[in-house]
Amino acid sequence: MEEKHDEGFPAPGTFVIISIFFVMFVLFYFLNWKWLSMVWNIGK
Amino acid sequence: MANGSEFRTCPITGKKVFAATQNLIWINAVTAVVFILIGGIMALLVGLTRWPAVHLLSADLFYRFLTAHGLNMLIFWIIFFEIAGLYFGSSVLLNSRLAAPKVAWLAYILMLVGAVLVDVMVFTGKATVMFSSYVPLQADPLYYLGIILFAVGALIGCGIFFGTLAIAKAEKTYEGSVPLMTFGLSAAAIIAVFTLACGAIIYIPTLLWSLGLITNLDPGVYRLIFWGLGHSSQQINVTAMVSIWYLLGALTVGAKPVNEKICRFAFLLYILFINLASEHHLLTDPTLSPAHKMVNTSYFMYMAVLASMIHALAIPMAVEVAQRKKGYTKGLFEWLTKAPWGEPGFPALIFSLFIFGFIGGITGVVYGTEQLAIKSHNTWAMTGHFHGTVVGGTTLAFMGLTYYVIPLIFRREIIGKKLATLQPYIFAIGIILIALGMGGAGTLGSPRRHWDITFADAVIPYSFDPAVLFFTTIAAIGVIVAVVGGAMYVGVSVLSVFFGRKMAPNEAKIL
Repeated sequence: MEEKHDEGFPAPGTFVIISIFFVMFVLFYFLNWKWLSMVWNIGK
Repeated sequence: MANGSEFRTCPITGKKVFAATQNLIWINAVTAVVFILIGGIMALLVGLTRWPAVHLLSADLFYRFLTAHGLNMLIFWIIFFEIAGLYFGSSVLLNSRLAAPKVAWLAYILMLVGAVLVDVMVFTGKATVMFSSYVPLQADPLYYLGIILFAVGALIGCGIFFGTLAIAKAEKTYEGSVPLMTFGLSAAAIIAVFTLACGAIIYIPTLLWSLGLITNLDPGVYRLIFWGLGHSSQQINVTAMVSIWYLLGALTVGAKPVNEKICRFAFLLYILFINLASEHHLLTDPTLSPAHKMVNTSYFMYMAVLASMIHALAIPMAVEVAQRKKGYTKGLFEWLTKAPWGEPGFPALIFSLFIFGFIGGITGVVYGTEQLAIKSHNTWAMTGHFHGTVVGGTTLAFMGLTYYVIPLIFRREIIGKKLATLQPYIFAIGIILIALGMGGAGTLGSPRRHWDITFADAVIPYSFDPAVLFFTTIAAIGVIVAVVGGAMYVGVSVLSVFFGRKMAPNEAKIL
C-alpha cells in the first residue's frame, strides 16, 4: 500500500508573521473606531 | 542594424537583451534617479521646516518646495522608473524586440519636456498649487501643459509595452504564459492607461481655463477626475511594486510562488477594484451619492485589499519554501535569519514588504473607511500612511531592483557594494520613523500640508498636545535618516552607471 505523506503547511513561519499582521490590523482598526467614538460623543 | 533587432544574450539569465531596449531602460532609469535626487532635496527642506525646532523655510518657499517634492517623487521618479520597468518586463523577460523604439524615444522626450516644464514653473513660483492643484487655485498654463505632455508621453510608453507583448506573442519568443512579473506589469500598465488618461482629460480643460479660454471649471468635477490620476497613479506603483517583489524574491533566493494562478488572480483583482481607493478623497464631496460611496469604499474596495493579502502571503511564503528547500528548516524562522541579508536586494524586498504591509497597508485600509477618513484625512497621519506605501514600499523595492539592473542590463559593476548593502537598512529606518512620527502627530490632530504647526502668527492661537512635538521630532529625524539613505542610493547608482567597471560580455556575475 502506498504510504501517504502529509508534510503539512509548507511555510509555518509565514503563517506566524501573517497572524501577527492580522492581529495588528484588528487592533489598529479597533483603536481608530475607539478614537472616533471619543471625538464624536453621540448621546452625551 | 538600425531596426532595433540587434541583441546580446545575458550570461546569467540567458535572456536576449536588445540594444534598443537597453538604451531606453537606461535613459528612463537614469532620468528617474535625477528626479528622486530633486525630490529628496525637497524632502529634506520641507521636513526641516515642519520641525518647529528648525522651521527652515519661509511659507512661500515651503509650499513651493512641497509642491515640487510631491510631483518629483510621486509622479516623475516613479513613472520614469516604471516605464523602464515596462520595457524590461516586456522586451527582456519575453526575449522580444521592443515595439517602435523611435516612438519610445518620442515618449521619453515628451515626458522629460513635461517634467522639466512643471519643475521650472514650480521652482519659479508660478505653480505653487500643491500636488493636487485644486481648482480654483491657478497655475501658469505651462504647468498644466507640462503635466499633459508628461501624461501623453507615459501613455505612449504603455502603448509600447502592449505593442511589445503583441510582437512577442506573434513571433513566439516565449512558451506558455507570460512570466508572473510581466503579467503583473501588464496589470500595472492597464491601470496606468486609465490613470494617465484621467490626467490628460482633466488637465486639458484646466489648461484652457488657465489661458482664460474657459471661464468656469467645476471644482467638484475637477476633483473627481483629478483623483483618477492623483491616487490611481499610486495604484500603478502598488502593482508594479508587487511585480518587482516577485522578481526580487526570485533573484535573491530563487523564490517561486507556491500557486502562481492565485497570484495572477490577485493582479486581476487589482485591475478591477484597486482604483476605488481613490474615492476616499471624495467622501465629503457631493459629487458621488452616499450609496455609491458606501458600496464602493466599504465593500468592493476590499476586493483590492484581498489581492494585497494574497500577495502578502504568497511572497514571504515563496521565500520561506525556497529557503527550506535549501535546508534552512530549523524552527520557525531559520529560513529568514539565514537569508541573504548581505545582498541589497533581500533587505530591500523584506523591508519594502514589511513597511508597505504593516504600516502603509494597515493604515491605508483603516483610513480609507468612510467614517475614519473624515477624522484622519486632512491630518499628517495620512501623509504617514502614504510614506509607508509609496516610499517605504514602492521606492524601496525600486531601489533594491536597481542594484540588479545595473549589472544585468547596463553591464556595469556596482561601485560601493557595502554602501549598497547598507542603504536599504538606512532608508527603511528613516521611512519607518517618518511614517510613525507623522502617524502619531496626525492622530493627535497635526494637519498635513502645514507650514507652522505652532500657529505663531495666527490670529486665534492654538496649541496641540505636547506629544505632537515629540512625534514631529521623530518624523524630522526620520527625514534626515531617509535622505541619507536616499543619497546613498543616488550616489551608488549614479557612480556605478557612469564609472562602474564594464563587465565582460560573458561575465556571469550579479553582485
